[in-house]
Amino acid sequence: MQRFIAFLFMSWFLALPHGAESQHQLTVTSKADDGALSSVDYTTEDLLSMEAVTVSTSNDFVDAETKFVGPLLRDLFSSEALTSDSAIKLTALNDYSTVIPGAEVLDYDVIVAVLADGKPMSIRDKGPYWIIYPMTQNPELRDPKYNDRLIWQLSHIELVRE
Amino acid sequence: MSDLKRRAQHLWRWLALGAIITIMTINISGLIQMNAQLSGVSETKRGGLLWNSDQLEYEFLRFNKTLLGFIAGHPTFEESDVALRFDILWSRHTISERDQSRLGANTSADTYGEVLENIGQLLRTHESNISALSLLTTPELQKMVDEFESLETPIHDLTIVLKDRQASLDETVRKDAVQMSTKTIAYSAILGIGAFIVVVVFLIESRAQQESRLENARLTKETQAAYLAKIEFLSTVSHELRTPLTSINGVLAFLRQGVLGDLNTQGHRFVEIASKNSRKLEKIINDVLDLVKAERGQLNYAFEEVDISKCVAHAADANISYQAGRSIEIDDQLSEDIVVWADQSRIDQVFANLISNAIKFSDPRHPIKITCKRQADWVHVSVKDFGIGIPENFKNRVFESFAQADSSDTRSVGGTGLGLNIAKEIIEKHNGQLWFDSEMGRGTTFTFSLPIKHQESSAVPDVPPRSASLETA
Repeated sequence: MQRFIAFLFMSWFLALPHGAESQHQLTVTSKADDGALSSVDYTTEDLLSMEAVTVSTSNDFVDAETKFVGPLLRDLFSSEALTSDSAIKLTALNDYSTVIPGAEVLDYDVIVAVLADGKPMSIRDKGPYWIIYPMTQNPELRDPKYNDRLIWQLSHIELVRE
Repeated sequence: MSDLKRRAQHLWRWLALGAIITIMTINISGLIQMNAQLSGVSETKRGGLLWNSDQLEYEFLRFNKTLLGFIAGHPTFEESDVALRFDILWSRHTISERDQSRLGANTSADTYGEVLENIGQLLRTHESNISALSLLTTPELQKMVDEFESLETPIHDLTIVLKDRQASLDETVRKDAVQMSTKTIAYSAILGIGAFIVVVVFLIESRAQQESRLENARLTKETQAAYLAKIEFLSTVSHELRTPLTSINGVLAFLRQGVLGDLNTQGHRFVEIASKNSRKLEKIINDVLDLVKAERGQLNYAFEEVDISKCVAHAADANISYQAGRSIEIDDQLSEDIVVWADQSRIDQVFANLISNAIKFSDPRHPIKITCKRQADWVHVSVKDFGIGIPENFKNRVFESFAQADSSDTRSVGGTGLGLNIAKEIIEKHNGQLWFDSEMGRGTTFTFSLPIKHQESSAVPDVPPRSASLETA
């Protein structure tokens, strides 16, 4: 009987993968001039409700050109907060982090991809959120240094004032 | 500088240059090769094989820790945390699987594939359990922990294998880099030596050139001095010869005219011979004096309007007596009177030289032929003989002073070899040209061109047209 209940539970879990996906959160933190930290948590729905940008590009981590959809990274901050002098610290679920310059985010349509080829991305496949640079459109971005900025399994974005 | 020495220097220069180019090529290809090898070191960068393997091990340990924490009931580790770490571990496994092809086929690749296969197996086996951890019994959970923990050592070993591989790659590259830099130093030294040799050769050459330049300058100076001395000598000797000759001529004239009493027939014959030879001698002396004057630029000209047809006729008359028994034919093709701006006596001198030459070097049975022809604004006058012709090897020396094709003591004809040289000088002073066509055994034609003087204008063309076939020799 216990086995049967376990099986039922298991089936219920497997039948609800999207429910599980929707629990993901992206925490966006920025520091005000007075030093006060403000933090906003975005769910997948929140991000999809923002103005979506489509970037069809390839990179070192996908086999073919992929259509990525998600909000612009710069749209997560107010225009006063994000300047070309800013730096953005991106942290992944495995606590790996990297810092990218604000100027790049302002100059290029860098997106927080939520959908890849129309589907949400699982953690097992670089999801739920992935920073995507439009590399196909901008040849100058096809450099190993930009590859390191394509943070997948993104969980936290922090605006750092220089 | 000797030819051999120059050749050796050339050889050295080319050898040094060749060495420099070869070594530079080797150097560049070596650097390109090293560049390619250095890219092997990039495996350690983010996203590289070793990086991904480290991440896999880290996530594996982190998952085990989370799972253990959850089983121990630690409040920090919830069921969702285990699932999250499981998914992240899954993603790392997927990435490492993609890396497998980078290793190629070797022992470390086999180990790598085996460990990854085991992890994959484990992940797939427990995928369903992770979604329902709270439903598992303690022994089942313990078994799961045991299975995951049993892979910790193989994964760590795998990382060590990859690190060893990377270290050996780095070592190879480092060794190659050191070797390459040693080679580069050696080659650069050779390059330096090659460049040094080239510089030395250039220095030696430039010094030799300077020496030969100085030598040439000295020789030129000496030659000029010798030449001036020769002209001076000729001038003095000619003058000294002419003074007594004048009195000899005077005495001979008196003898001929019978001022000193009547001579018998034999006496007349001897006086005639003496007079003739005296005239010859006078002509030679005058030629030498003209040459001296020409060389010093002191040859005087009295230009006037000269009718060329009359001039030719006069020349034929004057020279017919040069040697008895020779006939001179005149072919005057001029349809009108042609006037040139010339010094009559000098043109006569040219004719005398050309005609005497023609007579000297041709068969007495054939005539000498003088042709006058108009060519646009020029008049061409040619003197043709049917004689022995000018030998090929003498053609380029015809107009040199004292030049004789046969300069041996046994030559059959006399002369100083100055006539043509003076004739050329005179014609060129008239803005004309003198040239010849000759064929061995068939004869020679000397032709000079003079600019026609138009009555309305004194302008004369600058460059005379050269007619090569005025008369076929």
